[in-house]
Order: sequence, then structure tokens, then C-alpha cells
Amino acid sequence: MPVDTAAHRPSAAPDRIARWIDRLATGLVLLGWIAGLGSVAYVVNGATQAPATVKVPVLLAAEPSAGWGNVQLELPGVEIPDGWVSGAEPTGGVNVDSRVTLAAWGSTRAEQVLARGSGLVGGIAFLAGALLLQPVLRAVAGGRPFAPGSSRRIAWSAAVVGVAGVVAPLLPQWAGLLVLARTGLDANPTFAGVVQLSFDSVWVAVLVLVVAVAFAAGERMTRDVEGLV
Amino acid sequence: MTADDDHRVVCRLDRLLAERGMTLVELAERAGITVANLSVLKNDRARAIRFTTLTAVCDVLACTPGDLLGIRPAPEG
Repeated sequence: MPVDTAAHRPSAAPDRIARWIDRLATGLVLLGWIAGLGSVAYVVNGATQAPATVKVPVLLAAEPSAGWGNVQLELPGVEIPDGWVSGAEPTGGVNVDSRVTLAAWGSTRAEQVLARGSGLVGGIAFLAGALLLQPVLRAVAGGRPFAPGSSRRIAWSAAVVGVAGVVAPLLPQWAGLLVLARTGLDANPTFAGVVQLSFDSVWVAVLVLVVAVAFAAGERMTRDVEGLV
Repeated sequence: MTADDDHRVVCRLDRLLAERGMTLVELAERAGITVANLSVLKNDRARAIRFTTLTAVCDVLACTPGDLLGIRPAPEG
């Protein structure tokens, strides 16, 4: 009985899918460089804008009795029956519209850079993720999804997602604190700086980490069958 | 040397082919196994062998697994 030779050859993704994955890898890195360099240019541009107006997030400090529950935006000619438009976002555990944007003239370079910092972190993280995942995608396209190093790269991608997701929103918030201090508004009880950690990205990072663990198991299995004839 | 390479099994495919006047390519065609895989086996680079491969090779060479595979004596000390 002839042996099933197909089982003896390394599995390869169908050519068309492999080509698409390969293009995806190339496109991802291209987008990564655009995002990375674009974000650096965006921040450098911001630094040159000082002392122009800087826009930063701050909180309207809720008053114990009334609070800032409904911050309403008045738009000429716009009337919403039984409703309103708000430019503020809810923050904290209670549904209070308190997160607003403060625009202030006389910015420092640090304020401008930090105000745009989330874009910088996001862009750099995108580039790092793209560079990390490109070899993984190329390996998948080449029919070797569990190539050595893939799980390590995916794990690093998870770290990038987790760290960038936590750090990115903090930078504009830091800028907000600086602006409040510079303008003296930190002494005004109406305003407070925003220091709010968001852990949404950590959940995504955990999911990516699970994929990395699965790939690590795949790499071990691949090593087991190497040299199998 | 990795732990997987730390074995003393030797393959006598080279000798069996010579005794039967058969080439590796011919064996590959008749057994339905790729030349690449048979080459790995012949050059003692295989770390595991499927029963299906063993069966096919033994069928074509009219031999037993014991004829095909042997084990080197353990180094002293």
C-alpha cells in the first residue's frame, strides 16, 4: 500500500491565501511606518506650536449637592425636545458628564507634546506591533505558522498593546494637570485634573497573550515532528 | 546536540539499497515517499519514523524493520 505522501510534506497554505497574508504583512508594516512617523511628526509639529492654544482634558469637579450631571451645549437654532446635546463625557463610576476639553493660550512645549502624546504612543505602538507581527504573518504565509519565535513576537505584541493602551491616555491627562497649574485654574474648585487609568487594553493584551501561549504550544508540537519521516 | 538527537539508532538504508541495486529515487517512486524524506532517513538525520513509512520501505526492499534499523553500542564510561 503506498504511503500517503501528502502527510509527509509540510503543510502549506493555499497559494492565494498565502499571497494575501504576505500582502497583509507588507501593508501592515507600511501602515505601521506611516503611523509611527506620522505620530512623531504630529508631536514635533505640536512642539513648534507653543505658545499657541493647547487643548487638554480636564474634569468639572462635581459638587456634592448638585453635581455636574447634565452639561448642556447650547447650539443656535437647535432644539431637542426632552433632551440635549452635551460636549462633555461621563467619567467615573457615576454617570456624570464631567470630562471636558480645556483650551488655553500660552502653552509650553511640554504641554503641547503631552497633549498629543496619546497619538505618539499609539503610532509608535502600531509600528512596533506591525514589525513584530510581520515575521509571524510571513511564516504563516510560508506554511510554517509555528515557526520558532512566533509566540515570542506575539507575546511582545500583547505587551505593546497593554502598555500603550494604559500609557497613551495618561499623557494628555498629564498635560491637563500642567495647564491647570499654569493657568491657576487648579485653585478653582470647578476644575480638577483627570488622572484616570483605563485597563480596557489590558483585556485585549490578555487575549493576545492567550494566542501567544497557543502558538508556543504549536511551536513545541512542530519541534516534536521535525525529523519525522 | 539537542535531547532529540541524543539517540543511537542507525539506519541501514544505504546498505540495503546497494544490496538491491536500487537508487533512492527509485525507492521513493515505488514506496510513495518523497526523496527528501528518504534522504533524511538514509543520512541518519531522522528523529522519528512513521509506521506507514517503515511499512512502505520494508515492502519495497523486502526486509524487516530490524534489517533497516539498528542501534549503536552505548559508549563506554
